[in-house]
Amino acid sequence: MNEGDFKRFLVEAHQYCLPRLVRLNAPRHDAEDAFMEAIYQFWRDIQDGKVSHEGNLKALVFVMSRNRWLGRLRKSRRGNLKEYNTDPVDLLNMDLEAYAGQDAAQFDLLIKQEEEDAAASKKASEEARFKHAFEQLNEKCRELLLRFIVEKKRLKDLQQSLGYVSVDAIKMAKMRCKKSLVKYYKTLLQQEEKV
Amino acid sequence: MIGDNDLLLIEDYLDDQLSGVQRQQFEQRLAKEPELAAELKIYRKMNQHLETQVKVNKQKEWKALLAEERGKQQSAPPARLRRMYYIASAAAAVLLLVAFFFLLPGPSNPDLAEAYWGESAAFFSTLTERGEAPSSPDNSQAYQLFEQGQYKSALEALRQAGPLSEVDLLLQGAAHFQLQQSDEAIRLFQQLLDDPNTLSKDEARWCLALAYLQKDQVAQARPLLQQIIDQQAWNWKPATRLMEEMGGR
Repeated sequence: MNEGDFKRFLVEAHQYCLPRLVRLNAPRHDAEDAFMEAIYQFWRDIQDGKVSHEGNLKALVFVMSRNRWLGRLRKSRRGNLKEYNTDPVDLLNMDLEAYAGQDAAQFDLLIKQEEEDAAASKKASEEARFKHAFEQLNEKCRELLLRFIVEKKRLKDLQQSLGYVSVDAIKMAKMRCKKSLVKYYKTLLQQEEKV
Repeated sequence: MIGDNDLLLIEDYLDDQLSGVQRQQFEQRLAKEPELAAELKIYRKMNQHLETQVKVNKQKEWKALLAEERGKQQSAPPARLRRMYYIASAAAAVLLLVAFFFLLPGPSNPDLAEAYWGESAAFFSTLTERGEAPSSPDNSQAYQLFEQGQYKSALEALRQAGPLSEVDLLLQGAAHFQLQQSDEAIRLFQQLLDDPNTLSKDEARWCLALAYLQKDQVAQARPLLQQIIDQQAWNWKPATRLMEEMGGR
């Protein structure tokens, strides 16, 4: 499937999957997210040569989307804090002993949420640092690194498409670009640590 | 000190380009050289960020493409005509519904079960589209027969197949429901619901409620529907509507 074919497929698959996901009670926004996750995985599978059959590919993407939506639904059911009062002031004023008897599980959920918030915050700052470092690379390096992630299994095609003389040359160029990226990333990390 | 050759090795290791022996030797070095291990860690992290970057770029591109397509469809004259047709159809449906409520007696419980079963048809068509069911390929004929409305033949095909997965059991129950064999459908859906390992509890609960309703056993159906509503589980909105329609029966 070339790029043009994939784009046509994307539009058709979206028209096919969204109404079906909404019929499963998925809110429109969640249905879109589930579809986007699934279609990305599908695209990566195509790039890696994992999609071999010519069957009903739209149905395959729908099943992938549906699984993502149901997985998300199950996850949110397991740790839903909405039903609890999470106001820290209210919590401090509560009689802890009586409270623990009422519902100790709330504390587990609060701790879990705090851990998740901390992990999300760390992840966000790492992403921002990476983005900043990545932007300092030249255009050619950026393109090489991003395309390598997807096309590393078709190195010969990638080498020809980007105009390198050999596979070794493209691997060497990639190593140098990555080395620069890591250098910028480490520099930013050191600057943040000083602050 | 990490040199360019080490960095090439790290890259080949992460790209799965090393032979078995090379890989083993590299891993032995990692165990002894913390500096190399730390460098590998940061290179691995960079690859994860690059992967995320590719994903973000692609999804952005595709969302723009889909938005453009939506724009084209909305501005095209046939779409407008289609919309008018939908509005007219909706208005007619509302009028019919009003007439139905005022002029006709309410539907019986089995009728309600049939009507709400229809709302779940999309789910059963996903079973027939397959791909996720942990079932044997030998059972695919049963799914095709079910899709074609040949419920007896679908049951026969399932009987002749190997061990049945939970999705197969759902399909089996659904086929009995379609054949008005409520007792057998109830037995199968209850069996799924009682299985602590099943991933299809929500689906089984909804189907079980409808099977009870088909048998006119409102007292058994009602708590199941209430549980679906309380947990906001799969099909909780239709369950709410169904409870309203059942009223004080």
